[in-house]
Amino acid sequence: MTPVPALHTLDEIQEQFSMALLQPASAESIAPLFHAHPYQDDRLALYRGNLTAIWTSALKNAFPVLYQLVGEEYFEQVARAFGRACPSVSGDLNQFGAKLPEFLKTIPDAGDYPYFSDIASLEWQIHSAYYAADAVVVGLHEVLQAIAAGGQDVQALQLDFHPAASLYQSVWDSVGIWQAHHADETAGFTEDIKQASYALIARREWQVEVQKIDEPGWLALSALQQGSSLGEALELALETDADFAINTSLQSWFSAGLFTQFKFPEDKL
Amino acid sequence: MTDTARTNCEPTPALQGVGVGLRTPHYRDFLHASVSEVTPADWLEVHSENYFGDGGYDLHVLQTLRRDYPLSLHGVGMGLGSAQGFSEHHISRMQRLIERTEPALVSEHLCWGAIAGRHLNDLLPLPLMQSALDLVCQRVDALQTQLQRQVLIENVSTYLRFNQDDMSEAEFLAALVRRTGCGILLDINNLYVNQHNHGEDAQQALNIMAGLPAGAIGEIHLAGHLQTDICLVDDHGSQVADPVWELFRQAGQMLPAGIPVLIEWDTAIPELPVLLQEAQKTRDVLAKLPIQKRVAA
Repeated sequence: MTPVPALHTLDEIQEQFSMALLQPASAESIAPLFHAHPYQDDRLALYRGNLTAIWTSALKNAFPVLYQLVGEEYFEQVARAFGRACPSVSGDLNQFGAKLPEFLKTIPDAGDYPYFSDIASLEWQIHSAYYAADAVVVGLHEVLQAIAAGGQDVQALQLDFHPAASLYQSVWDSVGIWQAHHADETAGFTEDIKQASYALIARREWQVEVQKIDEPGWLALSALQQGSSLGEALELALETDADFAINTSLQSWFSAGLFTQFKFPEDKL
Repeated sequence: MTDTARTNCEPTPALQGVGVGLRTPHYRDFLHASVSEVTPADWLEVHSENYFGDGGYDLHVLQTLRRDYPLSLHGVGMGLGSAQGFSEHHISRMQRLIERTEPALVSEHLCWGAIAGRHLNDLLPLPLMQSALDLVCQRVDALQTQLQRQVLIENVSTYLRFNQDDMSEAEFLAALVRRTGCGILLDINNLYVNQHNHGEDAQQALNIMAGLPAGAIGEIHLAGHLQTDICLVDDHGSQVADPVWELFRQAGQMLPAGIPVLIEWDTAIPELPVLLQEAQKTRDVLAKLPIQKRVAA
């Protein structure tokens, strides 16, 4: 008696198809679902190859410096391992890769290249800044004009970060490595990567810029981002570095396009 | 449900002529050339998901070019046929993009792309089963109701077919049109690729398309494919192949006049003039058809 082929629901077929792409060993069990074809296995492998290619190209787009650092072959291995371990959860591939920094801490080579994860974090912040909402950028002169006109206390100034702006810190000189490779694709490694680095990421004229800053600057900006007043924020910077260059820092923060709104708490009263 | 969807949907808006797919390497050409220099593109089509961001440069470019060119939004990530993992959030992103760009056409693919908890980000082959038809009808209905407009659904290239298929892809799409009032985006290259890969009769598919109510075919796609030993691969990485042009001529004689045609190119993207030459070739092919039968006239 010829066995009647089992019928599967759409759900089951799609589940089995996915497994056959993700776990090549399970591909045999799906074979009876397809119209028999001499090249059936190769054709299924085409879909499997597409999946890796899609992961690799999406990650390459979001993490170009990491790609340069590790090279094509290794990057593709990482992409394949990451794609299997951390599923894409959106039909928008620009969302794929948010968990790569965390994933890089878990790979077997993580001990040899502990800063890869931090480089990936920086690149994901840059990637996110590129697609962040548009907003008006506030210039320093506008704030100074408002103060001149209204007589508010500059120490009380509060600043809202632009949706594309963010702050970055690493125990490695990830910013230096990123800057070297971003500017020059053939750049080598910086001499001393064992020093902390800090950056601000912001977008002006559609271009995302990464500006290396020092620790006091980072401390002040972090405080501002969390709602502290300018006075409180600068106090933190001055505690770390009594010579903290207030004027230069303010000018460079504003010209980077870091802020979108400003207010003085008494405005609310 | 079908009646509601049908009355809610406008007839397919008229895009005129031959468009090209807008891809990042050509942003500068389009932004910096005067419209007259690149007129051979009558309209532009983009992959919707590339513009799902809250803001940024890509969206800025699209909104800028939208002032000079009619636009078609072509989705590649919705996966209308995914039994699990279908995302309402994806639809709201699509809705936001439609509000931001006011496209003339909105289209999706007849495919699936996700399971529960995992997106595969590919246009995967849908088992052409009755239950899949029911599911896709329900999804298209809901989509058209939410977007308050007609959506075109495109036939896709596949490398595998399922034993449980109850109908051909053309029959599936024809039923979908009848039940939801959606339109069809007819990809001529995909018809040819599937004819080669599965021995399906592209001519028969065209006959089914020609039997649909006027206006059902809202757009035509033309693209190149890659020949391999295993099958034809729909890579959109070369010029339109001769047999595809031939099939396009046949389609042009069987389908109503005035259907907009798009030249797609997604891998190994050439300089813009190469795309524009393909667009011009499309016009030339159409101009040689019997006068009352010109698609995209």
